[in-house]
Amino acid sequence: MSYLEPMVQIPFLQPLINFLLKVPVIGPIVNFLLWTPIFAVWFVPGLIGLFIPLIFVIWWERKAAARVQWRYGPLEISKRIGGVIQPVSDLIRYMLQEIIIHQEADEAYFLHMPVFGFIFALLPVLFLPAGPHVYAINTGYNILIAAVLISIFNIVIIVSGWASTDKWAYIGTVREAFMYAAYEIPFMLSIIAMIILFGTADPFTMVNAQVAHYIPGAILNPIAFIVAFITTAMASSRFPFDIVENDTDIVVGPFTEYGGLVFGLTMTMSYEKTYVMTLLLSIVFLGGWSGPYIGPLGDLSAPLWLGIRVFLVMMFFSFLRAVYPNYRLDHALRMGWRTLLILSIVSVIWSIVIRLVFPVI
Amino acid sequence: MAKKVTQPKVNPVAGHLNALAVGVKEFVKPTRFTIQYPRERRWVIDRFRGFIINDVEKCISCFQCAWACPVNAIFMYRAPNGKFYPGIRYEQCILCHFCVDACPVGSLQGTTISDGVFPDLESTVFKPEDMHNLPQWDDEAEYVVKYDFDENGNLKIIKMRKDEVK
Repeated sequence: MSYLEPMVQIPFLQPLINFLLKVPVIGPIVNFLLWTPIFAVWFVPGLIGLFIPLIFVIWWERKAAARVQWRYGPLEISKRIGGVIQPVSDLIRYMLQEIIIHQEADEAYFLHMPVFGFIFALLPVLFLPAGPHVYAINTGYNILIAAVLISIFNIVIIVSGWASTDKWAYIGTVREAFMYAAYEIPFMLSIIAMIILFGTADPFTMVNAQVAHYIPGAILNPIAFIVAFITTAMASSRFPFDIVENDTDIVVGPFTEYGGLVFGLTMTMSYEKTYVMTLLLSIVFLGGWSGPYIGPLGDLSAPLWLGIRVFLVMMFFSFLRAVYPNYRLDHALRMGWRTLLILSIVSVIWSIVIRLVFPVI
Repeated sequence: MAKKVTQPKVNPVAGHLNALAVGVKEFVKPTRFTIQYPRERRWVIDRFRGFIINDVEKCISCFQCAWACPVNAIFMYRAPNGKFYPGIRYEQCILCHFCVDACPVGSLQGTTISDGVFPDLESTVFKPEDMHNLPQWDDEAEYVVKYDFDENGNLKIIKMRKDEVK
């Protein structure tokens, strides 16, 4: 019998996997799920890898903000463990709610866009490896492709806001379009600066270069790191840039008319985007999956170290909710078009200088 | 004369770092003083203004309480013995205890009970015969929380079990 190769090697589960592979019907399924590209899409860094931080980070965001603001946060559900499963109960509530499509909405766009958005927000995961042996597609230009795919997602928000025919949705949509133009150029330039610095758009070579010299990319080009960090907060509408979905200002911006499970999808979209962009930041700036090799975990050792970085950065982004008020739209635009744009151009020049004077690779 | 106001100069980097430092400090050691209401209750002083009870034996039917009431919440009901006794409509009452102050014989007494829920509007109208006893509520609270200040003026929260208080 021939197997799909290569498979993910997990030594401490290997006896169980070897046994399951010989079972008639279950064997091919297990083989298919452990096939590297499928494993990357379904488990890490794909869907399961998204849902664990999603549940934890939503809880952490509410809890940390509550603690700083002298409240308690979610507590009543699973009181003994501090309300950790509150997001799960919210999900069940969303699933049981009725999905209302009002008369003026463009039905097809209105219903399809959140689903497309959920898919588009996860697309870059196809090109972002979680470890040297856990990846879906390897083209040699992965970082560039992922950075470009991240920017597709905004079109979905704009279309869904336009299709819902609502005052708040229109305002939110226009704000989204403004913000998109303001942060996308500095973000792209900061990623391009790192591509120039390492001389490649291949994540494996980038991480290997950071490991070989014991210097993370954030120290090699701190300006690019700061720009990418701030633009990530802007792109995923974290505080202080929660301008598009500002619920104290315009109900939930482009998603005002949504209800039920579709609203659940739109709510997870910004967290998905945080996850994907944090993954990109961790690989490019924070040394990726570098860390001591853990024997029993095998190929999952690298995703563990990457996951810890992603968790910490996402937790920091969520913590900002507790600290900051919101920027006004014109302030954020001025910041994007003035400070961040200049800083990102400086970071590109910095990278060129470093590349010419001390070639890293 | 118009005066031009200039924006105060703020160092942006120091401002952001300061904000984050305050956030981290509050996260590590929060100064919150929330009372988790059904499980905890706030400690109140003895003269806290709550529901009002009336002792019919002492009442001399002088109408002073009805005169004193600023919101006309007190009705005087005729009893079988020909006297008039007060009954309070709690949907109007603002718990100001003017009636308690006005009572010349001390038959109206204030209590500290203030957290009760009425099922409907009719049950907020207390007849004279309802005013003998303390209203009864299910009290789920296990703790009573008291706010106090220590010698440096910082907030101090004292948490007592309910049976220790009274």
